[in-house]
Amino acid sequence: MGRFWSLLFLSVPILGVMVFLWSALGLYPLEGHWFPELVVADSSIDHLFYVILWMTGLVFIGTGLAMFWFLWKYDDKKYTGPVWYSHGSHILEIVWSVIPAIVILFLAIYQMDAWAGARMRRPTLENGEPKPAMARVTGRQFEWKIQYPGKDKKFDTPDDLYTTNDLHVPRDEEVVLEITSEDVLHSFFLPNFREKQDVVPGMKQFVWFKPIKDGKYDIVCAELCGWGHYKMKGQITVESASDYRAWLEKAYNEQELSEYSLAEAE
Amino acid sequence: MGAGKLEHTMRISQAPEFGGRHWAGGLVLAALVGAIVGCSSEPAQFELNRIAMHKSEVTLGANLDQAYQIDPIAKILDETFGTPDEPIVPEVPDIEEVMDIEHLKMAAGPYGSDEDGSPRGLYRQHCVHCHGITGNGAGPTAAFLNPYPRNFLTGKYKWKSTRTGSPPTHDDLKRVLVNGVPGTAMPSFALLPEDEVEALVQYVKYLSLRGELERNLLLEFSDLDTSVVKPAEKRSQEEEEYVASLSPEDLQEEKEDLDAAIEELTDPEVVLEEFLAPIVEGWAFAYENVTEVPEKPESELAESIAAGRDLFFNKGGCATCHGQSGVGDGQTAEMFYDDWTEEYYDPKAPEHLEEFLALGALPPRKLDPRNLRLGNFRGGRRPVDVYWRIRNGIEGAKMPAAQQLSEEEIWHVVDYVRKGLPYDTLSQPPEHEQENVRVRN
Repeated sequence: MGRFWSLLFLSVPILGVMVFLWSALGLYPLEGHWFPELVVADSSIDHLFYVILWMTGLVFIGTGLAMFWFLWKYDDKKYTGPVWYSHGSHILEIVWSVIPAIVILFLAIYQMDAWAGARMRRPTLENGEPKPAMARVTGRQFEWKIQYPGKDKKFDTPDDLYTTNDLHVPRDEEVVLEITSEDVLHSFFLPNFREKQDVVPGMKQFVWFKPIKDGKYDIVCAELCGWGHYKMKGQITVESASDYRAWLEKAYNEQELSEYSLAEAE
Repeated sequence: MGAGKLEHTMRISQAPEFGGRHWAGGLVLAALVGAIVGCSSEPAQFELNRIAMHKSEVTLGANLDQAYQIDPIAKILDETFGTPDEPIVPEVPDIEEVMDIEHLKMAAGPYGSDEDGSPRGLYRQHCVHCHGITGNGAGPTAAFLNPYPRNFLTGKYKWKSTRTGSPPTHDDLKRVLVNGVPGTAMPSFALLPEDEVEALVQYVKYLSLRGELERNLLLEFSDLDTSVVKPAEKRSQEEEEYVASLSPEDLQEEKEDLDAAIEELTDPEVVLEEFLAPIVEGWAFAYENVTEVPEKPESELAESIAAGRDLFFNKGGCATCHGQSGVGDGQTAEMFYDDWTEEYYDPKAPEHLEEFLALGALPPRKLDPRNLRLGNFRGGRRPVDVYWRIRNGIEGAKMPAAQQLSEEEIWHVVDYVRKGLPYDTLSQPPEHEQENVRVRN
């Protein structure tokens, strides 16, 4: 049984890599365990993810193989040579401190652009002013309240449109959303848009993205916000600019319904 | 590997001992315990409306008899409506306008899905933790919510297009499910497929029908004089004296009369025709009681708002409760409670409250007039929704129907309430302090 432990340790990097490959390829039974389809123009988050995955992946495989090699080579039953104690080796300690420091410093600098893109470089209007929010999304236990500013482009005026869990945005346009909370912490998460923002009561925050593919995608809450957290789910619809405007108009007309007769209701 | 060798390696590696046999034995034991205790639970049961029962006991000044009054009601309800796992559609005329067994089965039962993947137990997935298995609005999370979840048992609903006293239409309930009730804990179920919303709406109606039948039966059964059959210790003094005054022959005759009365009341045909059919009729033809909304007359918005403002403060009398600034801080000298609370709590005679709380009633909360400046419209923000609120009042709450206003005047008030009041989130008045109805020790 002497070789058992070394082979067991060898199985860790092999199985680990297999699970990753399996789910990345979407094979049975791990379908849908990788990223959902990317539907925005900016792929920097995915790029960063893969860079870090490759780096940590290589370290993971290397560590696994080194463990295996030591266990194999210095097996109690087979190895009869003297033991070398490495504890206190100055060179080794420098190597395993400096290399990770360089890696982390590289990551810290390398990710700055993605961070700035997501948090600082809010899209601007032609005159250089920051682009106003297309809609306000308010987290509430347990739904997403959505408010469009209407024709006057100002929130909280009589021509606002209110919907619940139903956000529509135009394709190929920079979309800015204002995110707030009415009660507790939530997290506004658009998996297909690689967008996730904690929603803090009392704080007004902005997120932006440029959708490039039509479809209906999930809005979910990614911060445990109470017993109904699991059902705090909305839907974001990406559609052409004309469809979007038609939807706005239709939804507003429904909201302004000011006649009701039974003949029409049936 | 020998035992000695094992001990040797263990000592060197300092690994914690997870000794084989104990570990496996523990697992087997855990599995056994799980199989016996955990994996078999009692099927869910509807609860009796203990609060309504106690209410009639308080009114009568006598206890209801278990064998002659409570048990027959439970039996009739079970036979007519089935159980939470196995619902029954009672055979009364027009029931097909209200519900069908396929949809009820989707909503009833434990949460899960059929072999073909169609959903089951939707009510227990989405609703039960607030509204309760019986629909009494007192599920496990109910006590933490303000306002409390709706109690379906009375069949009264607030957000509807029909006049007070009539059940809501199918579309009314559906709208509440799809849009949620902004400003309360009721979330939107807009993303559920149409069929599932339909199932839940029907199940809500099912629970209401069941609750209403129970109340009507209770009225009938509590009218029966059961003093002759009650165990002596359950009788009130008055009943005791009455029984003592009877001769043995009279006593026997009274008992026979009572048996005959119960037999008649529990006859399934009588139950369905006389008690259930009128309730079902109300639900099936709720559309006939819809208040139609005349087309909004064309008018200049600013003028309409000004007219609405005048009506709000003067003729309409809205400011009396909703306050001079519309934040719901008007004079409400009376102790306002909604109908669902007043069922067990009379603010003028609160002495029985403890008994009702012990039966599961939620601590009463005062009913506050709505703050109109939050931009929240619980029953919907469409002009027709606000029109209905003003025209018909809000059933179960203290909002009266504005009978003194003409159609045109109501439209002005609608404009003022929807568009003439400033929205501002700071306008919420300080939290109302709950009355200290329970005497603290």
